[in-house]
Amino acid sequence: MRILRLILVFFVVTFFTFFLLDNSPGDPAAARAGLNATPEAIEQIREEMGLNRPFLTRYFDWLGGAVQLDFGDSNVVTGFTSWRLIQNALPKTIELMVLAEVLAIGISVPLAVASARRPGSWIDRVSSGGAFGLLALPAFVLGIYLSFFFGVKLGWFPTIVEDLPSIFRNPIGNLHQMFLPSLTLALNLVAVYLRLLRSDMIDTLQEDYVMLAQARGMSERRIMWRHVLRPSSLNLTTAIGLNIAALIGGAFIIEVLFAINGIGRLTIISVFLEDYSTVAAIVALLTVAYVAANFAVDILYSILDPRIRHDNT
Amino acid sequence: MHKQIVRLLAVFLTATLVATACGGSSGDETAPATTAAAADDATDNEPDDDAASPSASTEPPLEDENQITSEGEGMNGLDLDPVAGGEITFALVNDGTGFSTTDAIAPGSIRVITSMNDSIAGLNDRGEWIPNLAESITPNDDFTEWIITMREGLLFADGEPVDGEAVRANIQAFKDGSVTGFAFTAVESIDVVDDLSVKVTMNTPWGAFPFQLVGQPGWMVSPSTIGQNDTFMGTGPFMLESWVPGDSVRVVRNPNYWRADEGLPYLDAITFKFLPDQTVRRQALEAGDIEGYISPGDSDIVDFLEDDNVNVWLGEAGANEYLYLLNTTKAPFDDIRVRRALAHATDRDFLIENFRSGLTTPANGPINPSSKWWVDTDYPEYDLEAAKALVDEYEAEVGPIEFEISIEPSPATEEVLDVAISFWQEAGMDASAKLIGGGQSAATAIADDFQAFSWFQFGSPDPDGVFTFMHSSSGFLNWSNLQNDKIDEGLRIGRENVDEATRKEGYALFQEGLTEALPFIWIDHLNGIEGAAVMPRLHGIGANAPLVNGDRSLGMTNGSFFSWEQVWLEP
Amino acid sequence: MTTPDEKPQKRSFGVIFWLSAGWIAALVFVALFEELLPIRDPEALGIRTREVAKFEGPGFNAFFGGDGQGRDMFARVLTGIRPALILSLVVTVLASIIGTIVGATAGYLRGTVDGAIAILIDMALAFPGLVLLIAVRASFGNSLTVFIILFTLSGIPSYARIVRGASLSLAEREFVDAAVAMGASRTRVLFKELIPNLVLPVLSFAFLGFALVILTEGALAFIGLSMDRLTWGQLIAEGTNDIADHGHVALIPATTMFLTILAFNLVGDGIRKLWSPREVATERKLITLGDAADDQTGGEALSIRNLATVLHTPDGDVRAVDDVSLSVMPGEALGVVGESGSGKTMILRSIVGAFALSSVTRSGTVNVGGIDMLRSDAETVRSVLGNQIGMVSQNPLNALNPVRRIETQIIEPMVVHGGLTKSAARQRALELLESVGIPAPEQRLREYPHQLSGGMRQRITIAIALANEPDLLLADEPTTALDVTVQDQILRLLSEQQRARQMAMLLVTHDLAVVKGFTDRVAIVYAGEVVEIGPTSEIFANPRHQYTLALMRSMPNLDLPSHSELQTIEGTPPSLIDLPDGCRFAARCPAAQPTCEQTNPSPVTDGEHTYRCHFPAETGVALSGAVS
Repeated sequence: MRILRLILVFFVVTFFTFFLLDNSPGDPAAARAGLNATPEAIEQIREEMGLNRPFLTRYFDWLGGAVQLDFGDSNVVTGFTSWRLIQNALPKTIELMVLAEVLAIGISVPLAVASARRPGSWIDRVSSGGAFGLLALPAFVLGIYLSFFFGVKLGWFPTIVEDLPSIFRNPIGNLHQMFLPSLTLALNLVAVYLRLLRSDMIDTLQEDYVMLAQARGMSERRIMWRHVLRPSSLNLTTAIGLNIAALIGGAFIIEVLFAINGIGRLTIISVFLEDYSTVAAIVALLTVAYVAANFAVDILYSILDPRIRHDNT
Repeated sequence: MHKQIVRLLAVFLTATLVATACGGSSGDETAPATTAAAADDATDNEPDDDAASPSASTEPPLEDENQITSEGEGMNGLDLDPVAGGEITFALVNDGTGFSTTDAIAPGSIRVITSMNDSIAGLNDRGEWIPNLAESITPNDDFTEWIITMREGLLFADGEPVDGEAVRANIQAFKDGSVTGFAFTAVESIDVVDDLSVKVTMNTPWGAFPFQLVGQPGWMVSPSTIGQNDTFMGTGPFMLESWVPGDSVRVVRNPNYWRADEGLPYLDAITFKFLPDQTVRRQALEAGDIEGYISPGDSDIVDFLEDDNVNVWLGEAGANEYLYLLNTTKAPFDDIRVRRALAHATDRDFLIENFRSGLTTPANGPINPSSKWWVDTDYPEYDLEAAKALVDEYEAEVGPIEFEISIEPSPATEEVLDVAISFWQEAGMDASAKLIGGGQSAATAIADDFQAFSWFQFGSPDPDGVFTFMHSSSGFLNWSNLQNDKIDEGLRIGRENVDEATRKEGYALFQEGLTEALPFIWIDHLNGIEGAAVMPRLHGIGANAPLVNGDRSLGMTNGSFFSWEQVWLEP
Repeated sequence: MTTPDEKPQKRSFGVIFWLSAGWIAALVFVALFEELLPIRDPEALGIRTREVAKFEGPGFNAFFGGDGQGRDMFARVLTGIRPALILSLVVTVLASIIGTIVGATAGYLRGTVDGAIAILIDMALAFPGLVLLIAVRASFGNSLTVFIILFTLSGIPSYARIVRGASLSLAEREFVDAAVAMGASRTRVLFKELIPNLVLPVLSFAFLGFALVILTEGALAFIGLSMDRLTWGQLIAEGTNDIADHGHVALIPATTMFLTILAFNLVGDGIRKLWSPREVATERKLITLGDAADDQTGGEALSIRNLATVLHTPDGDVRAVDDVSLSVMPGEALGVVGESGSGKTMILRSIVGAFALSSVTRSGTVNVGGIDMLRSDAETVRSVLGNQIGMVSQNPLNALNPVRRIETQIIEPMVVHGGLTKSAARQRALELLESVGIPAPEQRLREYPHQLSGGMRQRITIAIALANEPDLLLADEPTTALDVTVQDQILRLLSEQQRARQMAMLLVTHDLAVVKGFTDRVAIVYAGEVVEIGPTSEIFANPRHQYTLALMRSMPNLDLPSHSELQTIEGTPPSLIDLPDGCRFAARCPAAQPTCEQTNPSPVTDGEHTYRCHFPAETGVALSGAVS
């Protein structure tokens, strides 16, 4: 049922994108033809590009190719397929997103545990205050100042990502470059995750089973990490899942600031340059990412909460 | 008034205006920086140099009337012993759209191609063409036929020979290109003469033809790769290793480089990184993440001139001009009085002082005052009263002056235009800016869909480069649509003759015509701000490098001013 | 939970809240009266007018300095207020209202409508907003209206998603059923019953969403996709080119934006706390006052002397347990009886030191097996808790962690405190499960709590409590939440186990019938005090305290198990925050005299039978009642 629903989502979104691009101002044929092309030349290119065929035919043709990752040639960067452009951009975006999530979770979960354990304590006040602050700090301001201080002033980290080595072959070199962008992205997430998890953990702490664990002489650390954390993490999981999908196309500010040729940057460039085949490919990709993230969240849900697992079966 | 900031979108912004004619390009503040000549104060002997008037130290006096460029006062590294080896990362503003020599090539691509290309002809520091890849380039008596004879033993990066057939194939493909072809409408045919020679036949005399061979028509790539956009198998010091569109290009030493026996190039590899955001570029340089970058803004230049940790190299001649292009077939600019009023109302010195930090030279036309072709014309000076009088006269006769001036998104340029508009409004003209899409300037101008335009172009060392854009025979590429006998005649004389005196007469006529008819309101020659900021240990940038015949190079080939083979890194 | 009813009470918001509110008020003021304020034209070029210099620093001439063209940054930042407020407020209000209606409709109507809306939400969330934005800008321009519509459209799905989730659970609540039963139309239920209850979650999200709108606009401005008005995002973007040398040009609008978002979040947080007092951050501390009593008579499994427990809640100090003394010998079962809210559960909590989220002060003495539970170090206390005390709680549905397997939960105390290996613990777990009457224990170990019935879960809770052979079993209303048919079985099980293992047991209940059958002694608790304590048979035969008497009289037939609260005593118990000076039962007592209102009676001991009453009942009076 859910699978069918998400497949439907994929169809409608890609169809809508196709429709939108088809109706936006600007003529991809003219764009490709160049500036002094005659109307005949444009018409010929239009023919070659198959732009004269009925809309539905083109959509289904495209969809057939898309399933095999063939999204056609880029309308702008001649000699490159849209998929190759995406292939260039995707790994860095995914790495950025994963690192940011890992950092965000790594920072927010211990802080949330410490805060929920002692609401009102100094650590709770500091981290809640910090969360409010981070929430109000735009990523582009944070990014510029982070790279100004850690990159230019202190020289600890590079200010741009260039010639990124593979994280598997040279993890240190890779992380050295990716640290600042990941941190910038992560800090905004930390605020959201921290607040969410803290509040859910405080709710869970009121549960009888937590009181009973205390009454059984379990240490506070054990109670927070083993008894409270997991049942409190469902909302957090949802937030992380939605963020993963959103960040693949939405981290464009970070990508611009740190010169990472990621999907976000590619999206903007492609839309502006009317590289329609690439835009369509990106939308399809992002939709798949959204759908996949939703599946992943569902699966994680059922791992985290056996009640959901058994409801489904 | 609303201000549009475009950072990322500067990528590709300047794409697709053909770079065939020398220096032809348009766009925002990132228009191609040209020509070498250093100006850096690393050894500046004027310690109390005031930031408000740095032009004093960056405009060295010309030693020789014929010399277009000067080495300036900075160190260009030529007096040091170069060290071979090393890799650098050099930031460019924008990527281009690829490397096909038969398509329109964006400035971003041209800058990269410079490292992978040596042209058939080169330019020396007196602005004369010299044979480069060619052994000789010789005309017939009336300049309707040119024989190009290549040097022996040249190889493309892929090992293929650079022979007559390869040259013919390249030039033919250029002429046949749907976009590039218009620059070669004067070319009738290209024929192989012998193993190393081709003959180019014209339908009119073309004395300045070899200048074309400095630029895109003179770029040679391995015949099997002609028209391929994702590769460049050229004859230059480096060859393409990888291109990640929008992000970076990496080039490595070309094993078949024809000047390898001179020890060139010095570097092993260059990574060109595209950083459209000015903040990011500057921070990356200051943090040492890149060895240099192109097109620092004027305020960056002023800062760097006082900073021993960064050297600045500025173009002295051959830089682009910033101007306001007027459509002389549309009201109100179909009336010379309005064009004249606009010129009188524009305070160029104010703009230069405030937006160029005084670094650039006021322009009267497309020819730089430091060029031998330049003549002083009676260009309208800033005179508000004169402007008002002309406006009143026109308005009494025709009606109020209202117009829109088109501009591509670019924060720096929009700031300048804002102020220019405030000047025009002061004179009684109701002007407003009209934002058009990034990269749309050329297309919009061709479609004639404009009254006025904020424009960057020209900067060609040889005036023949402007022929296509100002001669009335060029049709839609005659941007202003002006038909002016003096301009046409002057350009024709310049094109058809090789005798310097005759050409000078022609171009004097041309400049006179421009000032009389005013199809363009000129602001400045960007020689003072088109440049590069580099780390001091990177040498050879901006050098007037030795050419193959021993001349010093102008170093300029179509908007790129580095002789990359001469660049070396101090260990 | 034994905390008193939560009363909505005025709380002070604190300085930060008012500072934030003041900041917002100032912004609103400027936005409203921008034209009337004596500020420069934000677009006037200072370099031409000579009023503000290029990159002039902040000062008296221009409070925030000038930018690269000498435009007055103060005027520019102020001009940015209006679009920021209009955009963020209008978008937040529109998106939250529409999103709430859509989400609530889906969650309430369910079925096809829900399915369709859920798909729409998914689609909207899956579609990259950037692409939409750029496409729409190209066609419709970048006016404020276009931005409001775009931002609203992209905000609705998020609100709808949250509201849908919340209303799915709300729709099952009683008040909705009640309204439906009373014949309210669906629309009416939706708008009158459901939506008001969704205000809190929506409001919480709205303040986040508000910040998000401003941040997103800023981000878009930064890459050149802003609207056709001067916004803070544009100012920051313009200024970042000069952060190294003219930092103020970016820093001032950035700080303004920062403070504004902060202010809205802080105000939102303050308002949210009104609704949800649980989240009020109070530091949770366990404080012990006074010295231990030294009357160690020895031999008791549990000895409580003058225990007083005060919960420090935001509403005030709750004296949940007041001067309670009682003891239990090994093998003895003591019943603790009282109405809900009487503090009986808090006695158990005070023994184990496990409280919900508030600071607690305990005084007096609690000795378990000779160890002072109030003053020993944490390690010792945990060891006593793990090895000598077993606890069973009221609601078996809540007593087991829903996300951990039965096996994990049952072996945990044995591994942590009993020092058993996992496999040994597992072996013992099987024995335990068998001994508490659970069929197919192997299979149960692999299961999760939700797969078991309530009775089964309570048996497992008991098994866990017994895991480390405790000397003292604390049972807090172990059967209240269970099905009537299971109640007796569980009580029997507890009792059997207690006798077989010679444990002391504290059985907390509101049900006198339970006490009668399963305890040796009984303590009656009222308003935090033990008002009467003695052997079970003696209490039933001779209840002396008027409250005990009333309790017994309120029960029609003690032989029938009862699972309803005792409600037949008129009036309600006093608030534990504001206790009367005199006898705490006086207000409800039929036999009360003026003295009762003035002084709290001291305990009177009559052999094993102790009570606090100025005017105790005659002995044997209960026998004439319902007890047969």
